[in-house]
Amino acid sequence: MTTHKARLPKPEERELSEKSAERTQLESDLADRELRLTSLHAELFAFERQYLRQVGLRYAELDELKALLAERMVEHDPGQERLHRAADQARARAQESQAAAGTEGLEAPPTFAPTAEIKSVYREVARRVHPDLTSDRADRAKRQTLMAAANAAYKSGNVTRLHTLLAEYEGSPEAVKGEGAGADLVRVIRQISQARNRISEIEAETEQIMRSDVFQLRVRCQEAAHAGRDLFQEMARRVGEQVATLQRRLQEQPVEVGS
Amino acid sequence: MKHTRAELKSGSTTISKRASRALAAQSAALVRRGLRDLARDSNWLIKKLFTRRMNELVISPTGQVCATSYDARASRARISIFDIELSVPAFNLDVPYDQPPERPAERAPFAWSPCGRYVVAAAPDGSQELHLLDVQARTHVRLLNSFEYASASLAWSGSGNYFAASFAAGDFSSIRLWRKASDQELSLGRAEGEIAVADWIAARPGNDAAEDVGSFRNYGTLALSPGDEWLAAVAEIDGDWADDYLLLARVPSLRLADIHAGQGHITDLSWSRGPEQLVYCASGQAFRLDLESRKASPLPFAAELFRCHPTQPIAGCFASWLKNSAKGRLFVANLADGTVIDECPAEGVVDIRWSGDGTKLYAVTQDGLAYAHEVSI
Repeated sequence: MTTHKARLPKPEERELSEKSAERTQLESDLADRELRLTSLHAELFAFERQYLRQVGLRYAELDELKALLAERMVEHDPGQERLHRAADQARARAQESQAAAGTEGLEAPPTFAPTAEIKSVYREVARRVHPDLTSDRADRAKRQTLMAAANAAYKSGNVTRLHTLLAEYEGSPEAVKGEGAGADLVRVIRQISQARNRISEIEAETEQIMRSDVFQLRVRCQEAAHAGRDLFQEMARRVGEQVATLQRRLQEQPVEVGS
Repeated sequence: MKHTRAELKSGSTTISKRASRALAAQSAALVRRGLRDLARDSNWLIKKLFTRRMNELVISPTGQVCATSYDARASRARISIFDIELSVPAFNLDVPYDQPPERPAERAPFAWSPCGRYVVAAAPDGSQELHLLDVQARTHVRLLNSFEYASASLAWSGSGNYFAASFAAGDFSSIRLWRKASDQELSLGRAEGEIAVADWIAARPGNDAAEDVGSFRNYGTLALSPGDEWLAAVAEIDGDWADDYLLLARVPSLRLADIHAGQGHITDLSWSRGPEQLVYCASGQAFRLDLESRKASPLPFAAELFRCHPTQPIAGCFASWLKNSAKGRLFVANLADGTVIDECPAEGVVDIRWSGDGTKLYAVTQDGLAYAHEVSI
């Protein structure tokens, strides 16, 4: 009769097991946070484009009319230097508004509304290929490329592309692990450290986004929507009233300097 | 660029596509404009700067807000800088206090340099140090001096040539003034002038023997005139119904030229430019003090905070209550005709300031709301 003695795990194996569990938890946490951050970016991008289309274009129209009015004043009284300066400033502002709203606003994408499926796939991609979850330099570079592609696919709602990216990484040699418990332990500890650093970065970036004007504008729009109001429509109407006033003034002849 | 009248009719102004250049910045400017216009009816941009409650907040000419924060884990006080104008994260500056404050700051006066780059910060809670910080470089420059008493209020002149500080020490309280040597950093060595409590107690108007030195509580707001000729200071008197005193002293000697009894507690001082006039707020009412006749007359504004515009006859004001309402308001007043140009409901405002070029008025509340008003001049 042969007695089989169960082998006790070595200290580094026990430590590796604990650290691996910690890393798994961090992977999940990091994937959630990346999902939220990427969603926030995409939502604000779509929101800003919607704003530019509905309100920004009206501002561009208003600024164009202001520039025309200023130029009309110069034509009426060309000797006044301050009128030339005012006209130049008005024209520069009109061009800036036109550049921002004219190009971006007209090509505004639909509102960002990710499905549960794409969220789930993106989260899995982030958990598996996040560049801060590897300590290997070559693997990290590959993961960075994949993560950038995954972000783009998520923002454009391309779930097929996300599945392809995941399969692509799973089949790559970088996905294969193992060099003994000691080496694995060092690798896992470094991965935990990187993941924590990235979580801190995400927190800081999220805080910065929440201080941004576009985020604050979105909060105001959401509050208004809860009260049954369409804030963009209200804003566009107000600017439209100013546009109408300027159009009336431009049709009056002559334009009075200082009016 | 010529346009026919037909082109200008409604709906016919075409917005042609242009190549994008710095589009992110340009579209951000359009978003900021929309956010600001949202607050119209008025012309106020309102932002949340921070979430906790802070009392000692001082705004710079570039729209940054300085405050003391407390790191409970490290048991140390830090200076926090928030930005009203730009959507950038707040940052902290560590100050190497010789005597680190042991509890969260209740009061820590600050004074911004006129260019908005430097800030002089007093240590919170009774420590006697004054430190110079470079906010642009995000560094502590140096300890300016460690005094025998704690600072109560600080002021930098508009020219940047003078710096004034008051020190709270009961009967030994004082106000001191330093001159900055040309092309040199601020140095708080030997003061150019000093006002001691005894200097004005005996000379104050309606001097009554029954009223003794003990009624003096502290020095309040300090304000140097735009031409560096005068220093105005508030001497706070104890008691709910007491009148504070307004001290007017010559710069740089700080020789007292006038002691004026305010109509109640004085909450703010501000100098207007050419002709120089001093405006003060007492018991929620704004008054103008004529420097020649030394007579005060009420302005048609209820206000507790008052800032004259650097060049124009207008002022930014805050009143904590409105007639028939518990609500307060921020407003821009025309000093020439006594009218209110623009206003916005606001509560708990602790500081207001004009930008260096006078195009914007900033205000901040103790619970972290910041207001920016763009002025068309």
